[in-house]
Amino acid sequence: MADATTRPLPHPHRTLRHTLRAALPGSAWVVLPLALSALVFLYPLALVLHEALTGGGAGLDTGPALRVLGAHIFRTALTNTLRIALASTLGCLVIGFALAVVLSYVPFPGRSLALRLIETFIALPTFLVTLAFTFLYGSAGIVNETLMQATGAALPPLDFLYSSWGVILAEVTVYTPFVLRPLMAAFSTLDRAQIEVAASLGARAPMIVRRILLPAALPALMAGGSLCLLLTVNEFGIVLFIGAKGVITLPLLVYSKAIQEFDYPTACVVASANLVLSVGLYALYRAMVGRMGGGHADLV
Amino acid sequence: MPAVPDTTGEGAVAAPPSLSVSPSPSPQGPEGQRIHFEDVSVRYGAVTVLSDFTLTVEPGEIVALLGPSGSGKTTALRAVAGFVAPTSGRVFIGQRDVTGIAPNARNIGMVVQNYALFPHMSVAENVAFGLRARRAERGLVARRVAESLALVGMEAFAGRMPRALSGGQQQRVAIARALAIRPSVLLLDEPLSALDAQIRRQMVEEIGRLHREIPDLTILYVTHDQHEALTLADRIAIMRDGKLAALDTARALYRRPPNRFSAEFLGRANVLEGRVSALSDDGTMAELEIGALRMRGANPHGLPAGARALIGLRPHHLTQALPHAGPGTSGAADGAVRIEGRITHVDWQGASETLTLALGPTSGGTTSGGTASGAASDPATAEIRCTAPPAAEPHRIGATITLHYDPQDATVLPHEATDG
Repeated sequence: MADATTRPLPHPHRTLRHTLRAALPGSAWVVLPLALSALVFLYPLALVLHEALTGGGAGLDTGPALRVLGAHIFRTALTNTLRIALASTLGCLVIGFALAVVLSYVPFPGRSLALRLIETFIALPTFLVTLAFTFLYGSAGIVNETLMQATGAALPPLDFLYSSWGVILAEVTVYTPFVLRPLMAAFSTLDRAQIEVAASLGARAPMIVRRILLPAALPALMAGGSLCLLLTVNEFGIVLFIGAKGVITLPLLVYSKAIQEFDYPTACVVASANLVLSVGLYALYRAMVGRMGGGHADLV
Repeated sequence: MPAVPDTTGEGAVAAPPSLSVSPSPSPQGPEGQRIHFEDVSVRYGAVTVLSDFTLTVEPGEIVALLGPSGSGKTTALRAVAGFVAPTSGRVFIGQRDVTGIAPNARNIGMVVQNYALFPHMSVAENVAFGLRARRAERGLVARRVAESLALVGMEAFAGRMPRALSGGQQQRVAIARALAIRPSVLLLDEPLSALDAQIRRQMVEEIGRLHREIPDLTILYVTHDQHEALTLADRIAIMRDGKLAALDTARALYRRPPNRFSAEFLGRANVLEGRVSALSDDGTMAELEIGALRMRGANPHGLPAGARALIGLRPHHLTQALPHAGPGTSGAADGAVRIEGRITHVDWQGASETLTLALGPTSGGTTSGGTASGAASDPATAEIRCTAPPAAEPHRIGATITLHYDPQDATVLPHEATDG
């Protein structure tokens, strides 16, 4: 009992912390928030997956899911989604690369203002761009009205907005800054002396772009492209807002089945397919960002 | 400033851009071409970075542009490369006015401080880049790449990526890449500044050897390192504040700097201020009254008696032993100047040591010719540096020692020499 008498008394301010630490092991401080997050975010997803795999029944029944996945409308939506996403991503990459080269290497007055303006698109809601496009290129838009007045045509001559092309144009406009930003970061780290030496060796601008800039930009292009693909695959607002006839994508199909037809089992199957696609693309994006290296990873 | 020969000729014919590739298998390039700056000025708004710069680098010559940061030396080089557009004046390569010609049509080789190798290309691809830009046929590319790499001793590294090379190796590849196109002129912009001291010394020797192997190659070499300039250059152009402060052969500039800036920048000469108090009969030697001191030196500018003047003297020309005191000579050598000073600082550098001495009125400097000391004034604050092999016994701070120099080693300079 001598030990008990000589043991120092606990510090009054430390008592609570010690008590809590004694009550809960260290890992509990991580596990609890994670469990809470899982309840709020993952449980609803699990419900969707469960609904998709049980077809609304009690046990596992993949029959309904396979029927939905084999249906013509699903295949059309999947094809449309991938086609629009790939075309938009390609457009973003081409325009983003060209813009990044110009903004990085061609000095002109108002360059930084132009860059800020382009980057502002990241902050804009996607439907706003679509609305602006309707005012510009819609049937009663400025361009068509002007053309109709000029040519005396009875129908709007410019008729692309309410098709896949309209969706692609809007997505390219909205998502190009997502490619531009990592590209500008990549170019800012490229030693300008490389370009000067290449020019002194006789290389003209196209060769410098092809042999020097493009290889330097490749990791940023891949990371930016993956991000674009991920975002365009899941794009809902632009497709809905444009209301293009016959352009059904996976997110739009989920909306249509769940909200308009109250066909939740089908909506859950389509949503699950969309989820698998998104997670796969996200894994691709992380892999690309990883290839860019830690220094650039936070820029994209 | 020495006169710069103008061999441009009015109405020089601008030849079409030469992008052809010489099929010559020899490692030596085409006939070296001269570089000529004709009153070149470069201004950015109100800031003038190069002012009325005129200089000719003769074919096969190495001229070093030497100067501190911001002196305009790199701007001058970039004007030749085409990356800086002169506000006024013209730049010629050979007889061709290249002032308005794009960099890719100038047929120049350029090597920069940080190598600027293309990181995604192998050594061989880097060297082949210029040849491919000129659409050279495959056999010629392979031959030239091998030759150029052999020239810099890097043939064994053809398949390596730049990141797998040391700094010195990367700079060798950069030089090979520049030479592979057989440039009219080679521009070297601080090529060794990123290397450590030992590698830099090796590379200076390498570049010297390279020029002996390609004697026709005209080289404009920008550096702030006087050792590189003195070792490599046939002539040195000292730059200051965007202007040419001095131009002459390395030896002449070192031996007889034309102004204070050149004397101090090239070789860190001691420069003391005084007044010409006496002249030799032929006027080639002058004696300066510097407060209590009388110092003699060569008078290449022919300064008259009574003129305010400077005297420049290299630290290593000051010795504690008598200069020129050969066998059979006892006491002071003929004409040697004696200075007394109090040691204020000793900087030991292994093979040598630099003493800083205060030349105060108590030191009462005299010349060996027996000229009496004058009244003490400026030397109360004047200092002089002396570099010599380390003494057997360490010097004591505060001790007074006597130094000697040969007056032929000192140069009397005009007082208003700072602006070149």
